[in-house]
Amino acid sequence: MKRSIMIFMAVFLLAATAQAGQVFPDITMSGKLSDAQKTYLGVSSDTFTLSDIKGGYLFVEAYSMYCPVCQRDAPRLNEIYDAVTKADTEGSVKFIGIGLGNTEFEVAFYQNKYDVQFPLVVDENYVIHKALGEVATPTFYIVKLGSSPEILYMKEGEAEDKDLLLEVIMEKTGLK
Amino acid sequence: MKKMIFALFVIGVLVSPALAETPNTYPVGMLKPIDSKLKVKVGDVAPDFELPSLSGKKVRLSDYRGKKNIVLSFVPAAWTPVCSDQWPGYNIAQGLFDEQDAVLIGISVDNLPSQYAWSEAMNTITFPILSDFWPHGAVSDMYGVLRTDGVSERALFIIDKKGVLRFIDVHNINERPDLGVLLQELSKIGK
Repeated sequence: MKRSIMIFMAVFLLAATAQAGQVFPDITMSGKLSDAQKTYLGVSSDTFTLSDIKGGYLFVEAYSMYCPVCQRDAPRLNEIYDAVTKADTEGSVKFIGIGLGNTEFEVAFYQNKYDVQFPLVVDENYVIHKALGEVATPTFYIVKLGSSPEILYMKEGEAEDKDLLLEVIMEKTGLK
Repeated sequence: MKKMIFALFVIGVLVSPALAETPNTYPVGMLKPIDSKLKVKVGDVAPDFELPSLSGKKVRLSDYRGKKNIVLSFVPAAWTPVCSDQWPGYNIAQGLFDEQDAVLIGISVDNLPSQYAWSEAMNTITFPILSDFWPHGAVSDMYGVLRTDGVSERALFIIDKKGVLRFIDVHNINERPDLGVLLQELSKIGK
């Protein structure tokens, strides 16, 4: 009986989490974006939805300032962002970070502390966290944008192998 | 008993708002938000204490008097979800405390070996961590933040250079306090 409940719970949790092959939820995001970051995303205000973002693909980092793994990942993510931006001459691949459970102050601090160049948005009340199925931090997604945004890749956990993650992004977004 | 532990585990997995993938944490589920009664108030001289720290030295609160502002961060227990998702943030934000001429001090009722392993799993916490393990929870109790199950509250105390309590936040144990609010309160007392 216990085992069957455990299996049920595992299936329930997996089913509730946005997985590769599924549609990425059309979440509403909000953050203090610079004009350059708004232009980068193709949005006109600090609050926007996933479907407002102009581009072919979106790389999403679901993170928290308080997460030690995310702290270790931050420099690697910067390097990956730089490499993709250089390779992506048409500006098709966008990056965004979502501070799960983080306040505006905490997101701004993280951005400044690690010199994160891509836009970071605030999810102070865990609304996006819930929409994503309460994933652990960090979780990375590659989403093909469009009328039905498809999750091409999802990884929950540390991006220990930076080169591998970069390769996956390049491959999934057609930059390779 | 086993059924109860299993049920607690499932509830913990379902309702815990904690996010960090590592360190591995023990799910505790939703707890009574506050389970103690404060014994100090803003304006009081902070009760003095001496506790062993991870560095191997004993730390006495009054040693900072006249030199540094103090932020005491009590957390309930090592290896639990929200606690493991609080100090790592403070760890990278120590520069912000330095700007206010303040020292951040972490306290939990765990013993030093447990605190050491936990600190290492959180990218090595570099602010002083003190063990209120023995006599068990004595300092937590002196401040009125020892819960009935023997762990401390998730509580923040700001103490100025004169040793006076200037801000107290006995926070809902299930939630992480906003770092921005803490620093805003700290900035009010001046360097």
